[in-house]
Amino acid sequence: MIDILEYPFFQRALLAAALLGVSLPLIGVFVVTRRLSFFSEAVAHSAFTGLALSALLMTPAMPTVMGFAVLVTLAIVFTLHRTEIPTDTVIGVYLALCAGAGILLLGMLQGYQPGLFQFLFGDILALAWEDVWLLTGVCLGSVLAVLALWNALLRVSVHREMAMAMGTSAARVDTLFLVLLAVMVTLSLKLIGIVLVTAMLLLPAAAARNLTCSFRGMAAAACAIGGLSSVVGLYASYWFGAASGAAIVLTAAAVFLLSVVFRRG
Amino acid sequence: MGEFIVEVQDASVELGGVRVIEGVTLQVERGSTVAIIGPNGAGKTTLLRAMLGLVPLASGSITLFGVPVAQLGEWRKRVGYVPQRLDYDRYLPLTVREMLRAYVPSASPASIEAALHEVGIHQMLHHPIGKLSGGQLQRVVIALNLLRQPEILFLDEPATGVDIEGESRFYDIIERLREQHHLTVVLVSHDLSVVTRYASQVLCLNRRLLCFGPPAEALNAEMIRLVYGQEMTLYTHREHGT
Repeated sequence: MIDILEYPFFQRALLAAALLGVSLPLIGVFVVTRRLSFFSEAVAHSAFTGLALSALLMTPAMPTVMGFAVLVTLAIVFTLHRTEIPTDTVIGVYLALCAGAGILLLGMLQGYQPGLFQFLFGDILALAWEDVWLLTGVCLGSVLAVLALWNALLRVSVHREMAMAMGTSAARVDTLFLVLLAVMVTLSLKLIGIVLVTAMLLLPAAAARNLTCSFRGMAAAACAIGGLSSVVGLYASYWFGAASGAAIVLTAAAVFLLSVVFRRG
Repeated sequence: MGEFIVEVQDASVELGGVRVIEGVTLQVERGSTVAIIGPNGAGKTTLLRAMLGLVPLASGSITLFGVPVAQLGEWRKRVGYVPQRLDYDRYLPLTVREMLRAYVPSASPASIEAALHEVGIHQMLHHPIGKLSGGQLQRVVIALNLLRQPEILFLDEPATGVDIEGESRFYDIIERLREQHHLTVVLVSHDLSVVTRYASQVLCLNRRLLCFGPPAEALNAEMIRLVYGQEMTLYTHREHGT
């Protein structure tokens, strides 16, 4: 167990996994509470189109993907405010639009695109120190942003109109949170892959919800479950020679299944 | 004549291209309790939401504290609102204390306890809100509003789903708080006994304003028939005198 810690690639992976394991579930608590899991899935899939766009325009991948994801997020928010269409339908419309545009753009590219697959499926063991420092900054920023929005997000979650009547700008809170979610999802994609991003957003928060009686308790438990699942999963991947992302997801999923069995009254 | 805290001038509201409120004009005096009554679909809740600035006006104007509702800004701190029901996720692990702190972050633990004590549910501070009954939850919302120290409280059929005894207790609390905190109360109700017992002014609405005045004067048999479309009569309670 100690031996593997001597390798810098594993140190980087461990640090990145712990950072994402704590910060993604903190956002995930509100994703679960506000029933936005489909949204995070849609943003993750919009990366597909963003990547194709960056390859076609020959622009840097990360800024293009993130910019495109934020654009899609703002389009979803705009559509929700302009129409009476249910949220999941609007998200589904943009998911389909992104998938269609992504396939079309990829068809215009010549040859195999290895960068695309690395971006979509990620590899936490291939991170450079620069990636880890960037990740540290973004994770800290996201935690601070969630804490700053905490009360407003809760107000809008409990009763949107009551919050608005008492002076909370629900539209602003929604936009800020969804943009934060889009940024975190796209940033995490390249590092840990599409499956792990949505899994780390949802699984720890869903497990914590089963086990706790207060919202603070739920947030703390989600961060603890996310952090521990990431570290344990990463070590498990080493012991069993399995893919790191899959091992982390399965560890978090095991905790979730246990929480279903031992859920509070 | 006292100061007017709400002024509605020839206000009309359209929802989905349909005019649901037409040319309503009224003034709410500070310290009064105004009840909005009318049949289903009369536009009662829409009028309340328009007063709160939650739906745009097709024409006319509404001011609170002399300020157009669309530009209330900081004045919203003086506004309280008790919705018909909280349509939140019942399984959300959120305690009463956490909910109150979310809406009133500046509230001290002592003031939270005092507010809950005032509405008679101080023992429920650490209860998850999903485990509360409808009546208890509405009292939490009243406590939440008390912590914000509003000058005007809007209530949208706040006792919906609460049993008769609970409803009576709920309105007694509202009336006591109105007196103690010098609140102005605007409430939507379809219960005429509530209106005659607690309201100083009644507003009959059926898309248009049909009557506005003290219940004893405004709620005559002809008006009740006009509002509810059937033969109904009000009787005076031997004990309450209302």
